[in-house]
Amino acid sequence: MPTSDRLVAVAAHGLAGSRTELPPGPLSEPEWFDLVQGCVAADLVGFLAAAAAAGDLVLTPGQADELAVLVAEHAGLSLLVERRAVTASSVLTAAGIDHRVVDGPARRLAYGDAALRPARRAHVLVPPARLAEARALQGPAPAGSGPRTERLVLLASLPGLAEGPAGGGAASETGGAAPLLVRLGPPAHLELAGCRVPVLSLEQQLVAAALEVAGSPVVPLARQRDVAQLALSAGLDAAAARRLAEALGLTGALAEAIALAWGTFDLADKTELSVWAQRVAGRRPHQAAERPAPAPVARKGFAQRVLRRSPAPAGVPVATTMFTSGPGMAVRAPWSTRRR
Amino acid sequence: MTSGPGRAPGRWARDGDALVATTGDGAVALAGDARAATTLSPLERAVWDALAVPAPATALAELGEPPAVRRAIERLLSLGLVREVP
Repeated sequence: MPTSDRLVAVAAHGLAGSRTELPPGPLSEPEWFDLVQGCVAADLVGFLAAAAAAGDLVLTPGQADELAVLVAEHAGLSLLVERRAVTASSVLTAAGIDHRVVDGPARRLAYGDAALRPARRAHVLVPPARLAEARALQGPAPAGSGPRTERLVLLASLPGLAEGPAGGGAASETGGAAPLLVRLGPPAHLELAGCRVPVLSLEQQLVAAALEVAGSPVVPLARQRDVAQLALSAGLDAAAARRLAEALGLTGALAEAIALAWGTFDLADKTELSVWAQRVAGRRPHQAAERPAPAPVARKGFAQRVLRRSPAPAGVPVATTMFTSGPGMAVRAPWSTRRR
Repeated sequence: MTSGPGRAPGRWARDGDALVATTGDGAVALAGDARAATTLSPLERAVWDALAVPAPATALAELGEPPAVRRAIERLLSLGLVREVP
């Protein structure tokens, strides 16, 4: 199995209905090295650990030890990012600056725990008119830090969102909430470290993640996983997500991102959102593959494999699963980080 | 630990400023004033989980041998992850 297939299977671990498969036995040291390096580069360490913890990926004792160290390192960094986001949110709240945490700790809404999807940095959305003030409130950047090492990034618009009515927009005369924050709608809230932190809701996160997918020439697997995870969250209001995307002029981006994630992770589940996305994006599930793949429509043991997948962590909503085996559904889409 | 022989056992509670992420059997924790995260053992994580509601050490007996539980509480206390409450 190529490393790229293993990475896709790791990224898909825990997704209800994914037909990707992890390797059955312990990997050789070169294979393990490649997989670990790939997971580190692609922000998939949390999923790799989850697969190992669930017994879906058999490791040698040495590999398990190595992974434990790696996971602790990534989870620790993620907690530092969370701490930074909580502190920043507290300061912004005290200053009366409306804001939303876009990602990082906000992903807890979909994943439930910081270790599964550790964050290297968090983005916080603030009104354009108060961006400078918000930055000043955060204090000077630590010595030696640069854009790549900043744990918190303040934004006046979502990454990839064009300037204009749907973008950050002009600030109101009163310096109040910018149009984008108003258009996004009310935030969700997370209780973190004793603070009530406003974060993008599941629907808002889905649209934001889709926007990043649409705007990226090379789509990271972790970002695609975010799209799938958010789209499959039981707490997601699919109609609200579609309405939000439409209001922001991002219907195509949302549909493309969901269709891409469904194809990449070979998701058998059909949801209202995935059916809509595949229709709008103009591709049917698992038929985006250019190569002919004479795979059987229903593979032996498929249902058992899906059903024995590890349960989601406590508190993580899981969408109702509906299995389908329509024509072409079992055709594996080739993994590619390039947008199709 | 400030509780000791001859004193009424206090209850232990999570420090509200701490952040914790679970990792397999254990966890990684970041205390409110810490600059680096710390790895917790499975027992320490179990104690942390159990202290979602403040409880005396005696109420944690099912998690392990009393000396081990006491050591786990002591470590969590030294890390600033739990505190004693009346």
